[in-house]
Amino acid sequence: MIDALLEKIKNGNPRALARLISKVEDESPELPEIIARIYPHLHSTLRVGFTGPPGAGKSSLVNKLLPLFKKRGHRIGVIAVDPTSPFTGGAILGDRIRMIDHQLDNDVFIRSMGTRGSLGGLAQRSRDVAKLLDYAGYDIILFETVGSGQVGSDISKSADAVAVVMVPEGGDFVQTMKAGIMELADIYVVNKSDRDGANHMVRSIQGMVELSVFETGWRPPTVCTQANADVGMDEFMQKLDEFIAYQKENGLFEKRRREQLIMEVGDILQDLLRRQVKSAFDTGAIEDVVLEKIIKHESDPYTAAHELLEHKTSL
Amino acid sequence: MENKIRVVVAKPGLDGHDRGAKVVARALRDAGMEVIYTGLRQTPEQIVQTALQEDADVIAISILSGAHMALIPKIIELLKKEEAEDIIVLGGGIIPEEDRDKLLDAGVYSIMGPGTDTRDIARIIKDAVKERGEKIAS
Ligand SMILES: Nc1nc2c(ncn2[C@@H]2O[C@H](COP(=O)(O)OP(=O)(O)OP(=O)(O)O)[C@@H](O)[C@H]2O)c(=O)[nH]1
Ligand SMILES: [Mg+2]
Repeated sequence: MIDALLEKIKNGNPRALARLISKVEDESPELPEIIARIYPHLHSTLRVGFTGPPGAGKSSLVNKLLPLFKKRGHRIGVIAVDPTSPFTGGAILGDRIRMIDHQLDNDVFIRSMGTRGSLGGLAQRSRDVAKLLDYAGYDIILFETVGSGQVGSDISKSADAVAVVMVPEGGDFVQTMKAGIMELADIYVVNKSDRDGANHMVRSIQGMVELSVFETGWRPPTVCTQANADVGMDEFMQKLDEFIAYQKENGLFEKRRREQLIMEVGDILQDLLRRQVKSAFDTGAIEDVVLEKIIKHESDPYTAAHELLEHKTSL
Repeated sequence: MENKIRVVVAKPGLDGHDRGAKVVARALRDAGMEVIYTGLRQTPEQIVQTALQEDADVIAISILSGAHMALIPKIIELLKKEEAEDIIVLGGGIIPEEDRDKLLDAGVYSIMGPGTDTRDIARIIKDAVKERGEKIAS
C-alpha cells in the first residue's frame, strides 16, 4: 500500500501525496516506515515560515510570493495551518481562499492543516509533511501559521527563515508578543502598508530591534508590503536572499539545521517514551510487575521505575 | 491515531453570496470535522484540485441557481477522471424536483434542501464516510 502510494507520488499524482500527508496528520502507525522509506531521497529543501496575528495578510503574501519563487524555477509546497477548535476538534481551514491564483498550478501544492491536539505534535507533523512535499519534488516549502505564541514558535523551529507579518494597527501586538514570536523573526513584514500608521509600526519594530542583542549578528530588517496589490514583494525576496546568504556565509544555516535535527530526534524520543509509559499504565504492566514488591518494601518507586525503563520489554 | 473527516465546502458559479456555505462550514467544524473553505467563484477544476490536494472525504456544494446543474456533473466527471470517485459529493440549496433526480443520477450522494438542520448535514456526512469506509474495507 505504501509502496503503491510512493510510486504514484513519484509520477506526480497529487492524491497519493495527499493521502500520505493524511497519514502523517492522523499519526498513522505506518508513519515511521513511510519516513524511513523516503528519507534517503530527500533534498533538504529550503523552508520559510510566515507567522503573525490573525488576518495580517500571511496567505495573501504567500499567494503573491509564489510567482516569484516559480520564476526562479522552483516548485513550491505550502503548508497552511489554522487553529483547531479545542472544544469540538473541528476546524475551518480558510487559507486557500487567498491562494486561488495557484489552485490549478502543477508547480504549487497547498495543504491546509488544523493545529489538532498537542501543540508539540504540530511541529513534528509539519516537519513530516514538509518531508513528503520534498519527496514529491517541491523544492521550497512555505509554512503559514497564526502567530499566537506557541503555535508560531513551534512551526518556526522547523524553518530556515522566519518572517513575522505585522499590520500597522499591531502596536499592542508588538508589546505583548515581545517575548514570544517577535524574537523568532529573521525578517519583519509590515503588511497593509497602504493603511495609516505603517511608518509608526516600522519605527516601533526597528526601535525594538535596536534595543535587542542578536547572537548571530543578523539584525532583522523590516519590509513594507501590500499583499493585496503586489507591493513590496521584490524587496521581501531580496531580504530573504540576503538572510539566507548571511546564514550560509557564517555557517549559521547548517548550525540551525543541526540544532533542529537534534530537537526533532529529541521530540520523537520523548513521544516514544510517553507512549511506552502510557501503555505501561494501560496494560497494567506497572501493577503486574512491580507493585507488589513496592508494597512489601522489597523495592521502591524509584528503583521500580528505573527497572521498568531498563527492561523496556516489560513496558 | 484518528481519521478526521475532511470536507471541502464550495460555492461554485459567479452568482450570489456564500452566507449559506459559511453556516454549513461552521456547523461541520462544530461537529468535529476539518472544513476546507474555498470561498466563492470556484470552477469545477479548482474544486476538484482542492479536494485532491486536501485529501477530502467529502465535497459539499452549495447550489443556488440552475447554473449549478452544469457545474456539479462536471465535478463528478472530473473526479472520475482523477480516479477519485470515492470522494462523496453532497449538494445543498434550492433545486426543483426534476433537477434533483438528475443530480442524484449523476452521482451526487444526497441533496439537502434549504431548511435542512445543519446537524443533519453533519450526520449524513458521518454516515456516508462510514459507509464508504466499510465498502473499501470489504
Ligand atoms: N488593505 C490591505 N488589505 C490586505 C493586504 N493584504 C491582505 N489584505 C486583506 O486582509 C485580509 C486578510 O488577509 P489574509 O491573507 O487572509 O490574512 P492571514 O494573515 O492569512 O489571515 P489568517 O490566516 O486568517 O490569520 C484579506 O481580506 C486580504 O484581502 C494589504 O496589503 N492591504
Ligand atoms: Mg491565512
